[in-house]
Amino acid sequence: MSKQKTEHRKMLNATQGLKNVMGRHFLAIEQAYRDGKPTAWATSGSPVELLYAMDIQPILPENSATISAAQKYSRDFIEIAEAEGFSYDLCSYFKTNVGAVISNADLTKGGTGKPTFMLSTDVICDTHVNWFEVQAERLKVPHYTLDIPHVVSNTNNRQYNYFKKYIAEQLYSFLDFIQEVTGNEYNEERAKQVTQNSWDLSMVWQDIYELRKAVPCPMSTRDTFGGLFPLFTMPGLKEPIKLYKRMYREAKTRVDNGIGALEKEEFRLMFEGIPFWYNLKFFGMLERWNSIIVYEPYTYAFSKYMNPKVTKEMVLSQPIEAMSELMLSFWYIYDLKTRIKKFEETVREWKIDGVLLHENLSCRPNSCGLYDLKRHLMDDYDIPCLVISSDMNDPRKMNETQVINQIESFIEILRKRKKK
Amino acid sequence: MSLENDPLLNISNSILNPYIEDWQKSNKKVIGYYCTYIPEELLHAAKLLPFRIRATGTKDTDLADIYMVRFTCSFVRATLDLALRGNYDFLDGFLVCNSCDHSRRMFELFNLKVFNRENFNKKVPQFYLAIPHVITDEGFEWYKKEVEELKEELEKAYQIKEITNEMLLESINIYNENRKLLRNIHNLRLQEKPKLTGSEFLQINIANSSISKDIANQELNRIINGLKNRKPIDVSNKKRILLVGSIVDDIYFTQLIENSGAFIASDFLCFGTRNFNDDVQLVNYDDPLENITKRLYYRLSCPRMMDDHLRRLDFLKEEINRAKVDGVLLQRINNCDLHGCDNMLFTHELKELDIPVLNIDREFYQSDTTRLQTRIEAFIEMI
Repeated sequence: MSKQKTEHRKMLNATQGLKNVMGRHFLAIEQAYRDGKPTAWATSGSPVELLYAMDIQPILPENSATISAAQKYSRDFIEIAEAEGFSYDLCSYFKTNVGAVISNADLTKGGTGKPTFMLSTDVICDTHVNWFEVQAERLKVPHYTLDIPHVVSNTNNRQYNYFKKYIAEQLYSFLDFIQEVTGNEYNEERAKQVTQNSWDLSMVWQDIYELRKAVPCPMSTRDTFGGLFPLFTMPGLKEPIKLYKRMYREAKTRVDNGIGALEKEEFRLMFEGIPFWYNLKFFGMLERWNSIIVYEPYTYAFSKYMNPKVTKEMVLSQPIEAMSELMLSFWYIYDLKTRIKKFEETVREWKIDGVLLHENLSCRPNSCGLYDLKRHLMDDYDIPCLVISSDMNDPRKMNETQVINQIESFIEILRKRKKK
Repeated sequence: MSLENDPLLNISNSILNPYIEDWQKSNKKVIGYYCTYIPEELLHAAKLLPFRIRATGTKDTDLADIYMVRFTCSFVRATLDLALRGNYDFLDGFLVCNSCDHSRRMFELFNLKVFNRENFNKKVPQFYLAIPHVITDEGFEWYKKEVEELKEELEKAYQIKEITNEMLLESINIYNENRKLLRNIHNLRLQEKPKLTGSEFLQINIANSSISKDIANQELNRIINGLKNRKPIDVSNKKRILLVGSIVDDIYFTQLIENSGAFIASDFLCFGTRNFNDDVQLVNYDDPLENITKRLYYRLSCPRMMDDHLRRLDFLKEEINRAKVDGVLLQRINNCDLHGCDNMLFTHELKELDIPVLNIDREFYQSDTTRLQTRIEAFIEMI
């Protein structure tokens, strides 16, 4: 293989720095336990910035669950949870976490220690709240639930304003909750700094995504699936901003020089859903067919500042109100009509040839409207779609051979369409 | 008195019933809803007949599976399946709330696939009610505004000048009476020598949700009078069971339990105690809507309400003693994380109290009866 070819197939050099950044996050967790600093479990989609602003060390059990999967421990943990009475069809992140806690697994295996308190939100799914409710009960720690109303097609402006007010009230009461549980007080200056960092982090991530519009695409999921983690574990800190900036610069150089992540980019794909963390090599396998994933709504969704109504000025001057608005514009809260519109726009802008939809056996809200989404994308916009059935963290639920066969056939369809 | 072939109980066996046909013949409207967290009294005050959507008798979900993945709740899929086949074409209105991640999707699917399907020309007003997931003062304030807004939407959609306080107060009285009557019947099955079976009681509850409460109250009174003279059922050789968990809207499941050596002495179901345990307290006569909302929000909850598990556990403990049950049967429809979590916690908590528990997962419709029967029979034999 020539040097040029190697250059093409590599992930960004900057992405190698992710290990160090995430390493710091886990060191900070260990340090917090040693120093007796308050810690909090938080579900993804929750305002982790507020935890940093209140000097609480966040721990994201979903992130830890992905580590268990990548290290091939998730299956064992899930089976431990099932032996405890958790059903086969319950969320695999949830069961991974239950098993990891029972096994007293360390951080490197995806373990999560007992926190000072837990923060959950139903912005993505009800299960998040159930999960923490169960674990808070088992570990005997306080639990705060942030209830986020879901927007449906006929939600009018009046309801929308109530929704915002309702969320803001809860966020203020959450600050009181933290103070009551830990004694830590809300510091406006610190909050401003955290918010500034969170904003900057998200903006660089969005800039990186803009670069992925380039043909050939400068980076693949090798950079984004892992690269995503700081967005929901460390929003508010400076270190990941530096990492993202390095990733951006390198990707920009590739774009400027017409270098793609693949030597020959033939098919540009979108991947909707949570990846199978125990089998990330699968995504590398797409390269066999000169295919590259150039957009994942899942990794993009966590760059939360996407609502044009929420400006930087608003974020800095009214962080709670801005957060309330943002939580109502989270990707996974959208109604079907908005989702279809977003997909169509994305396919156009990122010049996507086909969409892979992950029918994730663990994720009901994400999979619930999947067939409908597929039907509309195919019928209304002539966008080729393929549904892949699997699970994000439970390797028992993936049939790799079948998935590969499906992909091969799908690529053939895309090839024929290109020839027309 | 025999409840076999009783006209009220027979209503539970099908979706449409003669009462609805009569109701609509006189130009009155029927509104379908999914979950008991909606303000039925408000719908009644608007002169609508609130009909609780169910999928009684469904055997499979072929049509719905076109739009929904197989690992979404089979109850929700079954209702969509029936709707796609036209069984819910009689509805003149449709109200959905965010009961759970699965049923919330029905708002869009009914809108796009059921009410907009080819050759269906009826215009069906649709309403969405967002309900908080936690019980807090802020949540109540928001929920109340949602209900107030629903009132305005109903007035507009059905051209009602105003749903007045008097109309609401009248509906409250009728609904409180209805819940009292259901509790009275419930008490007749709780006793040592029960007057009716768990399956019969389920049928009464289902029928009650499918007809106007004005008629239902007359019918329930008739049933109560009849039951007073009915010979008690001999359950001396049966184990008394408390049935808990996901929606049960078909007696195939309760009969399967009761034919396996058990008697369902009480339940914790939304077609059961959860629905009639609490009344509307008329604290503020100037704002009956607030009283209705208070009942809905603070009542005995279902697992969709987060951080309220201990209150549900307390109810179970009380009911276990009240109904003198020998064991608890926890059941959930596959893929329901809400009941899955609650049932798992109940399993451990009840075992700690030395109360025999069976926790089973099932499909909503009749699909694996042999497996279920084997497990239930084994449990009954063990206790």
